Amino acid sequence: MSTLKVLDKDYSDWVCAACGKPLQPAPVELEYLDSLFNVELPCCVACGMVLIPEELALGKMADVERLLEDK
Amino acid sequence: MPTCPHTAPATDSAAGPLWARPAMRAVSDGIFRPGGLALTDRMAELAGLAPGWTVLDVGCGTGASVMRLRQRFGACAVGMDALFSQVRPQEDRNATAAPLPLVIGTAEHPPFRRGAFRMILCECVLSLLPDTRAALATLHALLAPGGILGITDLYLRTGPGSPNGAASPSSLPHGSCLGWRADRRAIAEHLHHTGFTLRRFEDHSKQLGELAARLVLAGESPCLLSPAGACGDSTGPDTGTPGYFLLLADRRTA
Repeated sequence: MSTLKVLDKDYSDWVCAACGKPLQPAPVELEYLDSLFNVELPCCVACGMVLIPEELALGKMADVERLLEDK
Repeated sequence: MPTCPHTAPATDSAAGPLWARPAMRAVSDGIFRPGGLALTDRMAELAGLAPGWTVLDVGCGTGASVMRLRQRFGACAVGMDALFSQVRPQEDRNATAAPLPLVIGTAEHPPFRRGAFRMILCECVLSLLPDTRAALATLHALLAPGGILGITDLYLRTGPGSPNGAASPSSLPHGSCLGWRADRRAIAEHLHHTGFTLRRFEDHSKQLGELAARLVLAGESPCLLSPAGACGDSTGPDTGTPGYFLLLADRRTA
């Protein structure tokens, strides 16, 4: 399954708090209730920490949770 | 009556049907329905599809199921679709269509003789047709005696305010994102009246949820696959719960 672009905003000016390295878009697997989604998210180029922006957590991801929870 | 604010664009002719929208193309890898080829395989296996069977895929789209049935099951499968030019980008047609027997036609006026097929697949298509029973009657005529009809499509798993899950289609709002407002009982009645005996019915609603989730991640509204009134308005009418089913039905002889 192809990797989905889920963010409209550019986070390339963000820096990893732990490493001081910039974040770059990278493919990430999101799993929820036995369903797997391949998406592109900002990741630290050094430690790989993934940033899930608030807009995504409270927007699309919350909608997806409701859909998969059958609510 | 409250309605989903995204319903109108979703059904607007200018925006096009769901399968033609950019988000669907982004998430589906060329197969514009829940479950993809896994449910095609499931239908074929449940039907006992054997090499050499003549099979028609109604609304074949990209022809992916036709190719699958020919390559994996050895079927003499052909596809029919009314909208090749809209379903498939030109480069796709050039890449995969040439070796496949795909024809332009509609479920109402298929370009085939009566009794030509051992099995007919109707994957996420029946709910889009204006007259369900007329379409089923036509498919019945295309099947040979003993033929099998396989359908996957949307349905209402639970009806509005109905304790036994039986929806009353007339009680549901028009313009719903769930275009075909049929529950299991209504579907069984359609089949019975058009000369079919329901052999098997399976719920695959998880596949619908996963496709809807992918569409939301790709930017579509979460209302797109929900009944109207269910999008953020808890005061709206209970319009039932959408689901996705697979069924096999046997052609009855008169």
